[in-house]
Amino acid sequence: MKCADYQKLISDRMDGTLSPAGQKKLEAHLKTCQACHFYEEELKGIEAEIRKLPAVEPENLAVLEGELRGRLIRAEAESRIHKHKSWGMKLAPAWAAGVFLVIAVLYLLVFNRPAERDQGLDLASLMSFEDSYLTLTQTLNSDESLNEIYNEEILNNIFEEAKYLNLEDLVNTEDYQEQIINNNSDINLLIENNGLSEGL
Amino acid sequence: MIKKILVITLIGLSLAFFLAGQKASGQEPRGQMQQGNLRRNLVTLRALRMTQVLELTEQQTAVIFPELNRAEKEKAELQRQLALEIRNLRQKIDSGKSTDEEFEAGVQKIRELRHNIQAREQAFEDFLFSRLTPVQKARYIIFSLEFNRVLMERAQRLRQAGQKIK
Repeated sequence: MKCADYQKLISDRMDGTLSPAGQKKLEAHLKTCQACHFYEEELKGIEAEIRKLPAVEPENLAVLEGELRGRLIRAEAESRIHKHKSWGMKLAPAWAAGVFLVIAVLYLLVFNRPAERDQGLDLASLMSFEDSYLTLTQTLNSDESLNEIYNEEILNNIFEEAKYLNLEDLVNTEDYQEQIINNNSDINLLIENNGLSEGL
Repeated sequence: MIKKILVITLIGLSLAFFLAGQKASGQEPRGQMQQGNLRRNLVTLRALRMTQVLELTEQQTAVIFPELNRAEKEKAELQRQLALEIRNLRQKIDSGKSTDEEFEAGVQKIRELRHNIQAREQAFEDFLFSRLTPVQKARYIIFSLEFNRVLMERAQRLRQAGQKIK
């Protein structure tokens, strides 16, 4: 046995729980080990000092217990709040990413569904430029002003495309230039007469 | 070289439409003339976008664009006639004075023109598809759908806006 084991036996003897066999072993050891002897003396001294303290009344004990419980509850609550705050802060980027993902998924599901986007459209007609053109002309036919505005838009698109493809030669032809001049004067007149540009 | 073919073809196309417009200017109302311009510009825009989307090679451009030019000239003339026939048919219905035979003749003419336009369009598409790779064919179908859809939607919005203003 080591000294640490004998020191445990010393504690047991002071508590009155040491067996007679343990007593014999301990006494034999204390005769030869000065360190364990001093340890026992020190423990006995502490116990003597404690016994000198005045006894605590049961009422005071209840007050003390209540106060201790209160302090424990407050400490626990503070600890919980602190824990929540730190988790919240730690999870903030994850929450943000989650919210972004949900919004992105909703957008894809609700606003950008190709299958649904094509519903209600006559796809066979849309496949044909001529069918689409016929519908387009019938849509615009009765209104010259709409025709002018639409043509102006198409012209602008042509100029943009030609610029992108470095095909300036195409739009510099006399015919296009004449169209631009005519269209511009027509469009100005339309805007003056109808204020059409406001709604477009 | 591709640019040269494109410019020559599209200018040729514009010129053909322009001459056709001059020829018809004495007979047709201003609205029809405007639609001539509109069609020419739409066809030009479509050709420019198609060139980009399909990424045509020089060889493809050299054979496809002259055929496109021919097809467009024919279809434009058929569309012009169709527009006139539809206008006539409207007038017949509105006046209430036409006979069944006159209605029948008008309807037959419109059906025939429509059939001819579709046949010419189909012929060009067959020619085109014989010159394109499978990926280019797929792109062409989606491109056509999107291009036509945008045309229609924009026209609808213009119409609605125009009606609100009135």
